[in-house]
Amino acid sequence: MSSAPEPSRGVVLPRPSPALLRRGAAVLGVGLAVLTALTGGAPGLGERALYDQAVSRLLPGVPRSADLVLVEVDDRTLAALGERWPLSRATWARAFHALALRRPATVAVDVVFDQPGAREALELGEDLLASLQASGLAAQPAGAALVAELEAKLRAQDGDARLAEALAESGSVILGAAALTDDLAWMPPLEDGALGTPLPLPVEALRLQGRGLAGSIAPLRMAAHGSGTLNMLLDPDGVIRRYPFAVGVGAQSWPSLALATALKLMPEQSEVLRRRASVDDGAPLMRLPSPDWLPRVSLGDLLQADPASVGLDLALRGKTIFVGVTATGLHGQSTLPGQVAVPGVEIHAFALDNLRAGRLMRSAGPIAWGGVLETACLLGLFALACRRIRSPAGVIRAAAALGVLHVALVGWLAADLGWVMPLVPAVVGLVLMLVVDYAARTEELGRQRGALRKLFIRYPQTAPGSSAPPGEPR
Amino acid sequence: MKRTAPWMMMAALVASPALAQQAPDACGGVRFVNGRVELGRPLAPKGAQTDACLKLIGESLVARPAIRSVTVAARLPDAERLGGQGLAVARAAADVLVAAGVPRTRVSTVAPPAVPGEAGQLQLAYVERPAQPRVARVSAASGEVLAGTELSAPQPRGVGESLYTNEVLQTGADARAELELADASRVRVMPGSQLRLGTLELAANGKRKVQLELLRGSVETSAAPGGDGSVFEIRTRGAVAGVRGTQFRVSATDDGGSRLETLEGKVALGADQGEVEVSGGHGSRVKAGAAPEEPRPLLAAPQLNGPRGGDFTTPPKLEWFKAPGATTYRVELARTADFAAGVKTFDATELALTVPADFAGKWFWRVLPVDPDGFVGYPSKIYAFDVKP
Repeated sequence: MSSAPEPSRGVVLPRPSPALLRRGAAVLGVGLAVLTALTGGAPGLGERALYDQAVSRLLPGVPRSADLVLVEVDDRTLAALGERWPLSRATWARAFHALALRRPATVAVDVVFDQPGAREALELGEDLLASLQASGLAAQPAGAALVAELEAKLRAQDGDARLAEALAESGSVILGAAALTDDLAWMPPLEDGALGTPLPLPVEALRLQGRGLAGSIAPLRMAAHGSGTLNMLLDPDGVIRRYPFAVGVGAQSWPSLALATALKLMPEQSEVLRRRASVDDGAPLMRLPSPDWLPRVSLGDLLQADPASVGLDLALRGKTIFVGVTATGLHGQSTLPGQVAVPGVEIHAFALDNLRAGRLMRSAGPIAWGGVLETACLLGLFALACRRIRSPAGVIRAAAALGVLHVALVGWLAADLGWVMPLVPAVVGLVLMLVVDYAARTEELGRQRGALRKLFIRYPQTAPGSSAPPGEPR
Repeated sequence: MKRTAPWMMMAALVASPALAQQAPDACGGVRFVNGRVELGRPLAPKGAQTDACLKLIGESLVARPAIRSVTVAARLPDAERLGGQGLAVARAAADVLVAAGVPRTRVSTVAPPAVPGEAGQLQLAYVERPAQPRVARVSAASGEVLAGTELSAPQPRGVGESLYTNEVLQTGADARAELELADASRVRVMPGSQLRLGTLELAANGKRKVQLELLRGSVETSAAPGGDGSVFEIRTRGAVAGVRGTQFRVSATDDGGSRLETLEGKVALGADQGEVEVSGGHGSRVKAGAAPEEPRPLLAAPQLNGPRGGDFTTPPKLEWFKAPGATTYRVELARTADFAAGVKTFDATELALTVPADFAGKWFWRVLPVDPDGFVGYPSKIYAFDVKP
């Protein structure tokens, strides 16, 4: 006896239970939080734009500092001096000499003088001088006077030497340097120890690592108080959210311009400053300044002002001065969250302000893992609510309440404590769990409705008030 | 074996007045590194020793025409600096440099603040602006390494210093230097050698022209890859080794001959009477007035028996196995595994060598086989031992 083969139905997998699906959604949310923690903390995947809006519009801006001043090479300076960028060393020497006369607390320079200044005129003068001396004319009174005059003029023309003198005169100038990364490989590297004493910070933990260091030429480094790196940490979208207070090069770590300036200003608090600078792997998130928070003085005005100018004296004496270029097209095009392109020198200035005021925001390490825990707790609470609450509307209300609680907690921690915890993972987990739960409940309701309908078909009853006799179809 | 015996090299050093000039003692050593004048000991603001050291620095500056300006910094405590003594001390030091021959227009003075808690001292920095591009930079050096445009007045050169066309670098009997050429090639100058730096031209398409002249001794070269039509030549008195590959050694023997050992790639050995192409694993030589010999295989690396690591209270005995064809062995010990500098070389006819008693600390060692004609074969593996008395 043979039987006809049954048509194939394929492999039927057991349908996952709603609880399992909810658990999967929760795991996804927690997984996102773990991913954020592993990749350096918030803002993580998908929450950068949200973070930018929140930090630029909702968090209060850094108030205006009374003791920070920006001396800027702006369009007006270039027009007044009749020079093109980069300025000559002689002009820089005049500028630093003028600054030294105002006795600032310190001067941080957002410029790297990594090449010697032009010496063509000096070479010519030296050749002329050598010829004069070889001819014997220098032995005569008129020739000797000519030699002396030529030497004086050559001395005035030696921009590097004059700049070194001006830097030493001030005694508190921090020059720019650069950690050599892939985008800065063209600068000539310095040998080990050229920037002085490295920071006692663990190198491996630092977020910014370089292959080497580049800095100003040796005579300028020798005359200045120190150097600090000018590197920024750009996120893939080109926005600067973190400031690297320290950079690791080989087995050593080096301070940024902001940290080097802070250490110069407050040597007695160096331990505290270094501890703050090491937050978030040496590159904490920054609080943003309010508009026009940094008083500005044009370098052109400084050079052309009367040395006895009281106004300029009031603006600069005892202040911490940042020197940098802000002229159109000459400064970096990196942007801060929610803002247009900001000159790099301003970023260094408010990084210093953030550092000394302790207004740093942290998101890595314990904060990031705290975010994972918070996400897990939130989603666990919601899973519990899903089991306890009967109605779909009640579940939606619970999800909304937990979401609001989460946003409020994250916002409060960021605003008051400076702890930036991940926002999106918990929200994603909540929404997914809600969708899964709602779908399961809807399906269950549909199933129950179908069962009831079958029940009514099998045991039909006369509806109250019906005129149809029993046994007849309605 | 045809290597120059160490005692012969010592005789040459004594005979040459230029080489007989010793390293500066007044400063405890002078190095010109990346714009800084590094001294063996801190330079006090004043004193007879300071003046002697400054005079020595001035002479060294004069011997380096690429250095176009020098800045003297007097770092004195604030009490002295603000009283005007800082600049006065710096100017006095500058006067010593000028007296030593440095043009006055190239010397400037500054008086920056001293580091709190540190004694006052003088520091010097310079700006190098060569009239021509740098040919090479000393990347490693040990022992007496001198250089200059005139063989009669060479000056000590240290790590980080630049070398220019027509300068002759010479190593003492127990000295080595490694040069990093501007095209990223590396040249190791062996003890008792003289190497004249010729031209180095780099074109945008990767084409390069490098010409070095080996006056005496031997060099080992790792040539960086060059573009089509590139030239990398090392000339000796009787031959030219032109690189078509990567790694080779050239030796100029005292009898006017030259010897080439190609470790990787191809090198053309040319003389007036002909040219041979020596591929990797082969060597050839040119005797004075003769054509290059047919390439011969280089000896294979010997196997080392031991020690292959570990700590010793006394210097151990190094042992290796016989390499076929080798009559002697060159045993090299160095502080670093790259054997770039600070290498101690011993010649051994047996298959063992007892390390001298004064060798303490960590040492890396390797053995190179040498055939009856002095051709040095491939180096063995490198092992280390640590002597902790």
